[in-house]
Amino acid sequence: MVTVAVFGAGTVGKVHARCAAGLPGVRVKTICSRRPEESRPLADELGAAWVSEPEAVLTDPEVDLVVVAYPTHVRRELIEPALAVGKFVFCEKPLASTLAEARAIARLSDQAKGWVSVGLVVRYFWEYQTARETVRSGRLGRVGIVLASRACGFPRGHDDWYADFEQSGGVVLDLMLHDIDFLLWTFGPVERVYAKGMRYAGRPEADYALITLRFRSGEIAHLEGSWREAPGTFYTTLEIACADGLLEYDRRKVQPLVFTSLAGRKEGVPGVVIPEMPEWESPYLKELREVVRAMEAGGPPPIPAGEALGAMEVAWAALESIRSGQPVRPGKEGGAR
Amino acid sequence: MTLQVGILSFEHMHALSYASVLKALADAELVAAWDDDPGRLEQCGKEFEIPRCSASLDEILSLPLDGVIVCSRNTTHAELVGRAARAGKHVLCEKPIATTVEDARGMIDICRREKVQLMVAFPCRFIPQMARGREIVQAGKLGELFAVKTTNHGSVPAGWFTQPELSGGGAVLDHTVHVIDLLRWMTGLEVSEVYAEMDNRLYDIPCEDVGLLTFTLGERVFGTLDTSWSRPPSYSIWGDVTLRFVGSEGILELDGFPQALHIYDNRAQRQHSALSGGDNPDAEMIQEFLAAIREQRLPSVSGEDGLRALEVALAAYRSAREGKAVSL
Repeated sequence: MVTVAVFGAGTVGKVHARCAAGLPGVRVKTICSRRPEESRPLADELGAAWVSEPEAVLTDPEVDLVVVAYPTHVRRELIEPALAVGKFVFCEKPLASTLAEARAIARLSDQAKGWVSVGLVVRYFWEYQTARETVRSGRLGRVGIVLASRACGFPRGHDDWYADFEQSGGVVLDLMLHDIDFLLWTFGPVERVYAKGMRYAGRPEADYALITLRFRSGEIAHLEGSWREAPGTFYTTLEIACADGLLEYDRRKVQPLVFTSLAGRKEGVPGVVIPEMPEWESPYLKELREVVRAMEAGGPPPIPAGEALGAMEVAWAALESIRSGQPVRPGKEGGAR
Repeated sequence: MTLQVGILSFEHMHALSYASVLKALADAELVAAWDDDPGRLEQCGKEFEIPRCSASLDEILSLPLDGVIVCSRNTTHAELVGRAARAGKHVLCEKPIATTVEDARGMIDICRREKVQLMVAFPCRFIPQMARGREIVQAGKLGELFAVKTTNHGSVPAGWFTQPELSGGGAVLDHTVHVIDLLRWMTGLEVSEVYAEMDNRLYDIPCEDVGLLTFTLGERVFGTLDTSWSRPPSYSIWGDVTLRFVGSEGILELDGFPQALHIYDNRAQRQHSALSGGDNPDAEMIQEFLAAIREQRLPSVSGEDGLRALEVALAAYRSAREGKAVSL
């Protein structure tokens, strides 16, 4: 039996808490959040306790795994004490809002009794897994150019913390990190990065970026990240063009279930269209199950902090390129924040 | 007034589409053709029932033609346009206008001196959704424009297209100019900076087949353009032209060739193919060329438009050589 405490009961915290509760052999014991209006109902729903202070979790010897779904800039102050008292940590991406902090966490994770695994959930989406396996099998021949988009409305968090780009990292660090990590996982290290974006344009209500990656093995990849869509929008696209074929995915064209409500038609309310993507096992469930399995087996974390650093370094290089207007080699950039 | 039109070279396959358009028009006639390949000239002359076909350019240009369409390989546009202009013929020239800035400037100058029109073939402007998109952009409905993300994908062409000494370049030259022209036309902004990654990765050809440009429009609108010949033979359509505008008040997405009608054919080479809308942009473009001749006015696409788009493509090659962003 693995006993879990979840920090944060926002959108992502709720997802992780419910997935954990649905895993056999896992007990969600505690929901920790300073916002009882969100976290108490979640705790009640899952039969867990609610606490407001992290100390209550860190001093609880029953808790084996700490799930961190707090805002990015306060993750480090939870992860480090948790590692220090021997807990395992599953942390939502990105690990931290600066590269230096993420590196510090990765070092600590290597030395600690427990470890940190990072929630880069795109690796658990079957479309992306299958795309990766297909191109790596060589079936489509040499890879030429990759296009990946990830777009949604501006995220609204507690205190609007996403709008403070120093805290959230903006669209590059918070959203595009998914595709950066997927591409690194699929194609290996990046030679250089060139990017344009709104990160430093002084517009906290909007962020949008276009990044070009050149991989050491020669592939060119282009990423679009948008926090500029209509509220409620979310989609991703992926295209991999190869010498002997092409692979494409567009979330907007995949509509397994569309329910249009006509309930309000007599009052003249227009129909509300609600698309859904039903599935028996969500990628979030799969990623958490891997974490629990690794703990039980005494093995390494599924996505170690050190491995997740690769995507952060590329994201940092993109931010540096946005600032400097020149191509940047990841890992070589200085103090870009 | 029925206008008499000639085609100078069928080397670029778009000439076949232009010839079909001319054949279908009631107020224009395809009366003459020149080509430096006698076999191709004979075949096309027969197919389109062109009365005067000759391998002598002087002979064709001595005819009383109102206009000519130049569809040779890119490197010979300058010579053919120059000779047509000196013979007093209005010219519609296939894109890219030329392969060097000097050639393009020379073409613009000689056409101005000889008082003939020089229109560059940018048919994408004549796709109805692009024209409607321009209205939306120009009406200010996007608010402040932040960024554009665009593609002009294609299949790898055959023949001279992939021989740089005849084409002037690969996928980047071939596919930069359409989208850059659309963006200039829609936004009224010029490209001020370009960064490009490009390479030969897909086919055994001596030029780049993948290319990705990042550019600045005006002072701070940023954008990207994927120019790759990345559609394999098994893909459902030859390629695409897509534009996505991101502004403070709206997002506009345009697909020049939406995959509207899907055909599954066990016996076809492309077992699954997709067709776009029913409008023919080439026909609209040629009608504009002819209308400008008839009305003795400038056509809506100019030689300068061709030059501006070419400059961006050439800057992309410079950026790739130097490994940094270059200013225009």
